[in-house]
Amino acid sequence: MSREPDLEALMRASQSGDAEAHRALLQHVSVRLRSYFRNRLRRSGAGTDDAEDLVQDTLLVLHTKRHTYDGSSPVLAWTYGIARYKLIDHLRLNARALRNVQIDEMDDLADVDRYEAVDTSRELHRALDTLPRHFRLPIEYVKIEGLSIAEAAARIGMTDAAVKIGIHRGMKKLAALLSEARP
Amino acid sequence: MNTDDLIDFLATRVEAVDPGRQDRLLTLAMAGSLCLAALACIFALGVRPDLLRAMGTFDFVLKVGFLAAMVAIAAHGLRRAARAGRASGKLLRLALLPLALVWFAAVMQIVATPATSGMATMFNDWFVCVLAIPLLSVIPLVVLTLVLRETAPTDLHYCGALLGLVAGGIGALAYASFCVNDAPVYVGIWYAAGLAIVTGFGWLTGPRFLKW
Repeated sequence: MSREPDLEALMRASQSGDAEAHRALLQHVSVRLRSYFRNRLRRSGAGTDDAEDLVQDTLLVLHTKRHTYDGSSPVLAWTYGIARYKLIDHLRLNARALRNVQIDEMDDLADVDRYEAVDTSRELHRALDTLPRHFRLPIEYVKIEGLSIAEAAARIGMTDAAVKIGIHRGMKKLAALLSEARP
Repeated sequence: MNTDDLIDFLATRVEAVDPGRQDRLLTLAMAGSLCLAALACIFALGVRPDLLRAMGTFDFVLKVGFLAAMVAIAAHGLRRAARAGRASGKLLRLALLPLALVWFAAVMQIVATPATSGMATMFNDWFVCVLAIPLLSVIPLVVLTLVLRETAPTDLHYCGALLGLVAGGIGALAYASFCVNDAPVYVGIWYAAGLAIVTGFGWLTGPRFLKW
């Protein structure tokens, strides 16, 4: 990799709606995140298998919470703050899952549901399918097919504002779904 | 899922966001909940009869100044704590400064006045004060928690404590429109106790209510 790009400038551009800057930012940050999670997981004695899931979880948070970055600290400090939060959450859930298996596998029905969810919702599309129509269609048309807000609105028969809200709320739901599915 | 596919997905048609909105919302929530808490206090307890006269006294100004300073310091900390990756911890210590000032004024007053008159008012309705401040702070606690849900705090105990201090301060400011005890000794003990209760509550429940 060449020199580190100006992540703060990329973030400012991404916040003002520049998709290419957003992509570049996520790409650069994902490299850092990958080595961060691998190191931390190895050091905590857990396997590094979950590192990629954590990278993706964190990218989803960076995306859905990008309005909370205000330039008062470096982008990487902000990113590692979120990454650390996700890592602690992950280790805690893992410890709980282990304990539950050791004591009584049938103990908690809610947790059984959760394990089943793991197998089915690894894929983005599967998670997307569980969303209600007014979240799913805007995301499918705009975020996957790349239609503009207006085009998607016309095709679904929703207003522009409703499409925007659908994307915003749906992405948050999706982020929650994807990270919940990984105990 | 492949991470590159995820990035493709996220980077398609990116919406513009407003990074200043969060701080504006927090400020608005604090101002709004102060008004609500003051109204609740006026309806539930009433207004102290000597409010206008009291507003000119040193003790009242010190009391309100102390509470406002606590809210301002905690609010500043809360704005920072609501964003990921900020070094935290030192700000709560700064809140000891207004408290030290009130205690200093209290000691001066005890030294200057005969012990009997100062001590007599010290336990006036203290339980109302210690109870009313946490109760009134429920309003800012709820309103601010709703706003904080959209943010990304990463140290939930610390963020919760700051939330508690802001809410306790707002509750106490509202309560000050009713309470007739302005003596620094009283404020330094019972108002501070009310703030401490709400701050402790925030610290304890932060991980539960501020989790995202």
